[in-house]
Amino acid sequence: MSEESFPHIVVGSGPGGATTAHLLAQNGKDVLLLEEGSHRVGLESFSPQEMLHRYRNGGITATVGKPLVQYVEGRTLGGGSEINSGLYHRAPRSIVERWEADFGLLETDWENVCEQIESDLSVGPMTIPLSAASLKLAQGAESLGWQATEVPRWHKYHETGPGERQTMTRTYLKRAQETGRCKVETGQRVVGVSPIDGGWQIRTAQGRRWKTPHLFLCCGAVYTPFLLRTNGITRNVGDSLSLHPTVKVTALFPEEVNSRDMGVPVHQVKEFAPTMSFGCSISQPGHLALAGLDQPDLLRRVGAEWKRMAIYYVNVLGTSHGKIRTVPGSSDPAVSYTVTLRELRELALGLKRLCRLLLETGAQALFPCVTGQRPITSLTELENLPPVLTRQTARLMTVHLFGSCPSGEAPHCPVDSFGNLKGHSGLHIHDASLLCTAPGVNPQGTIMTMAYRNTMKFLEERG
Amino acid sequence: MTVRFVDVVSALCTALALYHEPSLSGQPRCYNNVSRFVLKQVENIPTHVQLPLILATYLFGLSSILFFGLPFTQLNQGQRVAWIARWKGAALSPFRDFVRFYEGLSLFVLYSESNV
Repeated sequence: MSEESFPHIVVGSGPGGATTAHLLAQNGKDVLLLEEGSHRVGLESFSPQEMLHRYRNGGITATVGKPLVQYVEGRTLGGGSEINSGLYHRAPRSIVERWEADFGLLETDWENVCEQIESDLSVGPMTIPLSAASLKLAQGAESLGWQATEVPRWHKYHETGPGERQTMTRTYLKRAQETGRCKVETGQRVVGVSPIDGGWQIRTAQGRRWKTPHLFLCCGAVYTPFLLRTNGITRNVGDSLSLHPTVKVTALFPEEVNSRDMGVPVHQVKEFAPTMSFGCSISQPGHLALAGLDQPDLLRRVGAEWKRMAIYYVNVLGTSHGKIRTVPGSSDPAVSYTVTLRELRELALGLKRLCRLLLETGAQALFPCVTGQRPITSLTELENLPPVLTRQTARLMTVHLFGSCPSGEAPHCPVDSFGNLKGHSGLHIHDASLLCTAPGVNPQGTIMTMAYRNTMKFLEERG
Repeated sequence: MTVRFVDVVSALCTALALYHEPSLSGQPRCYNNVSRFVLKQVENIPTHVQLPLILATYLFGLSSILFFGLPFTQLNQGQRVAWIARWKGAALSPFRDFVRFYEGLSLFVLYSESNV
């Protein structure tokens, strides 16, 4: 098999990779973008078929530990942007200041970059009617005097119909390809990364090889460190995975709040942010049935009453550190994460507060995703919730993973402030791995901001 | 006696789907879509989890012989439900987690593709 050469190679086409490829191509650089997944269109969002074809490992992934934390990642052209809800946040300033102080992260004055991304992706509030399930959060918060916000999305709304999410395949990837300088290869799983004279050699499981002086790894917070570790680059890599531990509760209301075309709930309660946030999840019958695994009474009622139900969540600022490791004989990583007592306490507190809010909005019954927990139907029954979730009964999940290769000048950071892997010239990381800690908000905006600014720095330094 | 992995998974998924049938009519239907989805997901899961899961599935399928004299695939629906309940209520968490894995996937596809 011949070995092709490219001046820039980007591995991974999610928000970090797409942003990087777009900027390189727009600035006249030739780029090869490699993506493991395919580009399948027309799959219903959050459906079983989407899980099969656009999620890594079919969405069946969990950390090792007690309790385990289920998580999902995209494996498709456009990465996570194709399968998530499209909610956008900037990283809270208080969190970024901590990154500066504790990690030595330089030049974080990135408001201009945020504004550019927000313009490129049409970030804004919803202009179509908001779902009743989402509005419940706003109503409950108002009634309790808590702060709630409508989170903007990267979405173009049309006068008729729901419009379309501004995913990477509709924005940065499309624009990169339109320059004629970005070549995209799907179905290529990179398994080998090794240094050669003046650059890097890349090998895929499909038997292809390339070499490049500038390699950008954008495979996400799990696969980037896994790929590095598989290839012997281990120093401080994959030792500090962060996430937002999340627990859910299903609410049953007296009136209909749900429908097949419910859309994405956009309200979040930020009264206790960044320590904890409350939101509303996708609540289709399949998701409600899954929530009923721990609540037999809920499961019995989903078939007939699902239109009166919606799933809500509490997520907390993860404070523990997980690890990403290779497993002999396996082509997949082992991801461990020890949920701390503090996290379990905050989740329990958050659950209690969220249940109080939902009861305030008229919920008739609440079914927490806690094994053996009886449904809650009144404020007095809130006292039945435990002050700390137990490791045996808590059913946790997350959709936010980051921080496995934190960025900064501090010695424990494997990557410098601008995405360059220390001690390995020409190897750059531009994805969720870079975030120093859990940001307490949806991380996609921060990932794109860091990828954008790092690419601009790369271009500046090389003329 | 030959017990195939695919047959055990299909029998397990069908038993779970019949038990949890969500349709308002209450009429059982064909559950091939449930089995197909679950089998594809087993192919998708991380490689180091696959072998233990396959072994556990064989154990589940064959150990019913000790109680019913028949492998799981040859049990009737009542016996299948009883065998699932036995694993679901086991003292050891790996047994409970095994049922949870298959039940979660079956429920998800069953309700996602139902006409409720």
